[in-house]
Amino acid sequence: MARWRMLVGISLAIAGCSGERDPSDLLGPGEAGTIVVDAHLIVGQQFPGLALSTTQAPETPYFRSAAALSGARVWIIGPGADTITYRETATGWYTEAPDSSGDYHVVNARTGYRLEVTAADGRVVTAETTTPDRFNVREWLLLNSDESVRRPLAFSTPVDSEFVQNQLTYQDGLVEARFDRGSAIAFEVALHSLDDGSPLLIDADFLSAEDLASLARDSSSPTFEAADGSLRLPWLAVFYEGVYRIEIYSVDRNWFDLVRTTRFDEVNFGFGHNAGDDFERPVFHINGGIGLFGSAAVSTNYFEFLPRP
Amino acid sequence: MPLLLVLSLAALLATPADFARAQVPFTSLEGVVRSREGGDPLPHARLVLRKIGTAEGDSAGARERKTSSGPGGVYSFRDLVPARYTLRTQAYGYLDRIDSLSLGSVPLHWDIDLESNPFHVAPVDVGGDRPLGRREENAPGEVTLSTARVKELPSVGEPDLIRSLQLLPGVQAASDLSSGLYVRGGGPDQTLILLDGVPVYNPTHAFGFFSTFNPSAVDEGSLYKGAYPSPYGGRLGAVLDVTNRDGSGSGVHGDGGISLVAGRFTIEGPIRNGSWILSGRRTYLDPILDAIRNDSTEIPSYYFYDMNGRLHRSFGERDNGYLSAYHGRDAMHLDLDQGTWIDMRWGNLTGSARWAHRFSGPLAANLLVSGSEYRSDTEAKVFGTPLQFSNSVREWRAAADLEWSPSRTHVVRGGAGATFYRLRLSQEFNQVPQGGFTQDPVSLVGYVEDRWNPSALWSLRPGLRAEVFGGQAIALEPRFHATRVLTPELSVHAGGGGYTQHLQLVSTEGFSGTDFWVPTDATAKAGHSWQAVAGAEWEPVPAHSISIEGYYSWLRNLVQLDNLQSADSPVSTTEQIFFTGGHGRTQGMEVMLERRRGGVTGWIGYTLGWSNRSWPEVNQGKTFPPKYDRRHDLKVVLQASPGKWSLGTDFIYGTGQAFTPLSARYSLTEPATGTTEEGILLPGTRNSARLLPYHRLDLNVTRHGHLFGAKADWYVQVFNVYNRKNEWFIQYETDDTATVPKIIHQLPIVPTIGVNFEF
Repeated sequence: MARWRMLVGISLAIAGCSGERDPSDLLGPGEAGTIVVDAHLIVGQQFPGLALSTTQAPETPYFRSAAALSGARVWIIGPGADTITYRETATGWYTEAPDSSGDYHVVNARTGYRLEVTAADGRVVTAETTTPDRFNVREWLLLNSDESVRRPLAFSTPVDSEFVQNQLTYQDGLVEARFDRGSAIAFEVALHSLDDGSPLLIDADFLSAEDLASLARDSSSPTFEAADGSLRLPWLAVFYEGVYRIEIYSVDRNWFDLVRTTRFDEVNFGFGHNAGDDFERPVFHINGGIGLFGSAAVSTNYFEFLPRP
Repeated sequence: MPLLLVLSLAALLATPADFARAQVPFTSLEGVVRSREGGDPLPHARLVLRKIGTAEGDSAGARERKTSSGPGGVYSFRDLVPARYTLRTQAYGYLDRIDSLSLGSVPLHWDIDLESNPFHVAPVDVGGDRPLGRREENAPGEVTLSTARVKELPSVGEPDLIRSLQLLPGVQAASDLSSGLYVRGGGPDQTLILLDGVPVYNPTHAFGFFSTFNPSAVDEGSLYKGAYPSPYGGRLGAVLDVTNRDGSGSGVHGDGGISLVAGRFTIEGPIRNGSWILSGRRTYLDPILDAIRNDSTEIPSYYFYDMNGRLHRSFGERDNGYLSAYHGRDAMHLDLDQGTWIDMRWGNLTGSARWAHRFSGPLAANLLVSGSEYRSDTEAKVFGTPLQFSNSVREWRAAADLEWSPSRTHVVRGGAGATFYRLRLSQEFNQVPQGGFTQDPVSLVGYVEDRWNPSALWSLRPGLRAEVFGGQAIALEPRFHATRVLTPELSVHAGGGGYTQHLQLVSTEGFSGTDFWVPTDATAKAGHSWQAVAGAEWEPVPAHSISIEGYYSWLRNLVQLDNLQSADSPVSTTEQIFFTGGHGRTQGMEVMLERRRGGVTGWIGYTLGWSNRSWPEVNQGKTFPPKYDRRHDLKVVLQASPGKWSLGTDFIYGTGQAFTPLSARYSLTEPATGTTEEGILLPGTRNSARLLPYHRLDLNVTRHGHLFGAKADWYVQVFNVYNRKNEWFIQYETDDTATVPKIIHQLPIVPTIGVNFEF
């Protein structure tokens, strides 16, 4: 009996040990101050603006304004040492300075570009991208549920007369894009709802009003390799009625690696993880910093989604 | 660790005078241990043979010999000096028996009947007479747990063999919700789990919360924590060999149990020269879940069931036949809306037929034909988008083993077998196949081992296993084990070997329903490990023992799921599914104090361990500890049976699990949408932080009585008595500008009531 009393005593003593602790103990050693590059080039378009910032310590509130990196010198160097000079036009925001003739450069396909950043404190960050081929969707199709073709869809904008072909009833059939993938590395799809304030299409009484309100009007897919040269629009990506701009990006290695390893993209249907093991550092291709210096070619089309009758 | 190895080797190499007595005439003792009531053979009974007086060639170390009965209750002592002996036989749930024997030069056959020892009749000696420690003639690191003891240990909802094994030193759980076995720093995929000799590929119910082993149907589980012998293979770390029990040989009996989660019923009886047993279990959560479900509360329907059966018949004195089968299924359905639902089904089916024949000479044979299938099917629709995920692994195996005793000092065992696998994985998203594989590898295995007792003090067990898998190069796996008895109370042992693993598991902790297995193919090398163990066992007074064992394991060609691929990446080869070429190391030391008889029985186990892994693509190639790396692990288990009561308690303390902490936040534009995400989390060095230490106390109180004339045990169990808020994992909330780490806790205090009955 004395043993049991002793056991009870030990138990009570242990029970007195709190299992709680200060949550800030759960933050790792800070990596504040690392330079973050945020730039992606689109083939056929002008060289884009470029954001520079620094990482912030995890225990401090994050404000983008505080993170902005000011005073850096930025160049993008193309083939033949063709140098595109950037200048800071807002805090931490850099844009291409026009050349002596007042012109701006355009991003070429299948071309290597090198980014060089020298921060005010002398730190140097570099990165390289090779732009993909120009990319165009060959045909958009509406398929029946048995995957037979119901009808072709048009390449059009909402102001075109043939846009009526692209008016689709929600969850009726399958929308598929077909293209020649060539040697592309991977693809990413973006959906932009253009009718702000249009009502929801989904009927989900299991979601709270707060959850429904948080459904984005701009969304993107995971990256796909699309080995057979087709991509199919899942209805679960469409939340709202109205006109959408749908973009399919053929992306470079840097873009692909970042998107597939960042928590933008957590869709991994069917596959398990070793629990806790998916909190993994993204794959950055930035020397001396983190972030993205990537490139892509894009094909765009427009559709209107109508509620089911 | 090196010191322990050196000491053990030194003890092994100490020159024993007993080799000099090779000219002494030897004799042997053998027989069968049975239950007196039903005549059922009792495997794993412990037998201690103690010499009375002196004899020629005797030495201090030879005065006592120990063994345990094997399958069919057969035991044997060889290389004995003619003399008078006492033979003490102990089996859990039976009264001890002591026989006085006089051995001459002629070998003696001595069968032993044991009388059952109901707990409420014999309040003394209830803690389980058979030691948890290794059996003398078997492998190092082996422990055996009977289901009688499992039922006495505190549990959550249902008595569970694997959760009870987690109370042993060197064995961990990933969480309160997991019945996965993490043995000596290895993952659950590195432990082979067998049921009546047949692999069970997903040994869990309820997404991993319970194991598939119905405690009413199972006799016991033997866990080889490391350096397992050559008859086993296919995993880098450990083996759990679970045996279904034989039916009663003396009339039809039944037993059952009702817990908060499930009901169990078993019926068994004799047939001519044999017995049968059928056992079933099913959850009855469905009506409860149905009652809770309403328009505003979306709760899935869920159930699991399993069935076990075994038939045994003797055909004369030399032949025995066994048929065993197991079938288990889990099913879950969640209907959220017209266009959104999920339906999951998964489970195992195993069957085996075994024929055991003893030839007229010193030769015995076993033939086994078996099949095992695990399959998992998930179908879902999310806002009208269909998803489908299916996988299965099926194997057909034919194997034969021979055991030959060419002399008093050698028992040679060898075997060969062929296994035909069929592995499938398919997945679809939006009616588009997303990659999968179909593979049908064949495995050919052969092994040989010699249990050699060069003297009464030495036991050596060299072995060699060879496997050819899927047409790949032959894998040769030498195994070795040696035991040296230093005094009647003290022995030391050492062992080791090579191990190869061709089947790799992809699992999700806390959601085992979609587990799938992948065979290594020509694109990657099979996993390989070298293991070494060394230790000592000291029994200073009868039924009290102290054991210590050190272990070291080198692992290479490890794989880890590559979960960073594009959504439609092909997954038809090993290289496409995994990061390959990983390395690892585990090392540690276990100490266990055990009291097997007396008013209070139980054990105290402590493990000091290290485990690490590395892959070129993970953590920037730097070595890191897996999350289950646990530096300190303490287990205390106590049991007592005052009067008509049985009391049990266990206490666990372990170093907190490793996790990857947040090191910084940054902002970046999602390039396709142009939306800037502010405050994205930047992970730090992988698994470089620790959760708080884990500890908890559980209690079990059982009252032995009667219900409608049948024996009935009423029990109350309390899991996590003092409601310790053990940490499970960390989530970082980033909705605000400030980062708020949120701790997700494991199970709080969970009381359970139930009744077990038998008639």
